[in-house]
Amino acid sequence: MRSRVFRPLLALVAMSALAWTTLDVDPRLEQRVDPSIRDKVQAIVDSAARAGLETEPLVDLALEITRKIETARAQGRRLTMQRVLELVQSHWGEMQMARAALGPQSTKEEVTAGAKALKAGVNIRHLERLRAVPKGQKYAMALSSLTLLVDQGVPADTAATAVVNLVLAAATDEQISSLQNDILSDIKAGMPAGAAIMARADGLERVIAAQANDGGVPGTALPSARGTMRSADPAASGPVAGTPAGSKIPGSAGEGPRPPAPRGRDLKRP
Amino acid sequence: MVTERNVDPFIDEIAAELRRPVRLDARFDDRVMAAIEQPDVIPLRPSMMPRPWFGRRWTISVTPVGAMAAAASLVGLLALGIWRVRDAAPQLAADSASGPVLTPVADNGLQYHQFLIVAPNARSIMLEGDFNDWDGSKTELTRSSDGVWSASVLLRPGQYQYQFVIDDTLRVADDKAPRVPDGLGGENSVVTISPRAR
Repeated sequence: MRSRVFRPLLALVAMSALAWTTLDVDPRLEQRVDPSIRDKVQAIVDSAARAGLETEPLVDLALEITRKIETARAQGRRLTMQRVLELVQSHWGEMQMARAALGPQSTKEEVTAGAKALKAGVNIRHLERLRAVPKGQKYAMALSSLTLLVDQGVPADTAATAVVNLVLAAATDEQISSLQNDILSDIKAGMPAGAAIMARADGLERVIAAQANDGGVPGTALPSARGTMRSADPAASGPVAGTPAGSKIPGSAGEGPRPPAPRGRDLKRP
Repeated sequence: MVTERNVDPFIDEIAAELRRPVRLDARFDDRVMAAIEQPDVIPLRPSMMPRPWFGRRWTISVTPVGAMAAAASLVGLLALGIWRVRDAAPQLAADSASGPVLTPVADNGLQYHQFLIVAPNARSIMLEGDFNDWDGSKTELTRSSDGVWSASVLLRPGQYQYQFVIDDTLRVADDKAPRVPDGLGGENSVVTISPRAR
């Protein structure tokens, strides 16, 4: 009697476990990542999944570094696949730190973007400030822009303070994205990176404040130097260094609201 | 006890009649055999025909505990399937976004981005990035007559890193786009797909 009950039960449990294991193996890791580190990378990916975080960035990183090491080896460079594991482990650690800093209400995308910001050198206390963001407001795009700006030479503290202030002021993704493109254009045109972000961020903060006071639709108007409102004018966005085709951002040219150009203003923040 | 000796004479008479051998004519056996040899002499109903193995009825005995375990496993597998499908959806979308895509753009934020590089002497150029699993075979660039190579890729709003791979050996970043360190001493290019103002 006992075996009649337990044998089918055991078989079902075994089949379920097998199905679970089989489904959870990422075929891309199976096919492309070196067997010597594959299990360890998969274990990290599984840990991320159990923690409710994005696994794609970890898989992507493993695939990217593996591919690049293969190309480098073909050219005679000596690189071990251990580097793949090191970088994946490091990124996993940053994801955990970002989740702890941003809080449990943060989304997967925000944690991923926060991890990249930490890697770029943004201090964790800036991420902790984002806990005050109202539920439902997304800021992953803002963190991605912050990371890119820091990688382009904008001082990390200056950039993080400015971007987090804008997020807390409820800047939209479109506004942050336009801000990023404008700052990159300014830097390309020769403006110091720190000065560019201070001027542009200040301009956008004033736009948002004016919209809040005016009750207008966000992103439809820009303040003039005299304090009156005028229609959004892409030409007023300061130096535009001719966006090259390879880096053209769809939807960025004149489609979104832009802060006033830093022309003729004192670039030092009070 | 009832014996043949003490039964009713009438019954005895009936029994005697029944015991009397029946005389059959000489051709009776032949007629019976001829009737049997006719193929349609006894038409079988479908329900009387032997069924193949897959049509036979099975009887399975299940204990209550076994039935509960089976039900729990089915529910578990169903939940796992739903979870996997939900989890795989972004990846499916990402896969569909790789390579030049010519389908109409739906109102889900997807936008075309054209990647360009000038390399008149290249024999082949592939695009590798985190939008195509860093698999250059998914996105090969097309050469125009003036040595400009290009590929259009459908991407969701967000930031993506990428490199060009020239002739399967040389990795280069896009000199027209911002660059970030790649962790191996090289640089990736970055493209930002801005969300469109609605």
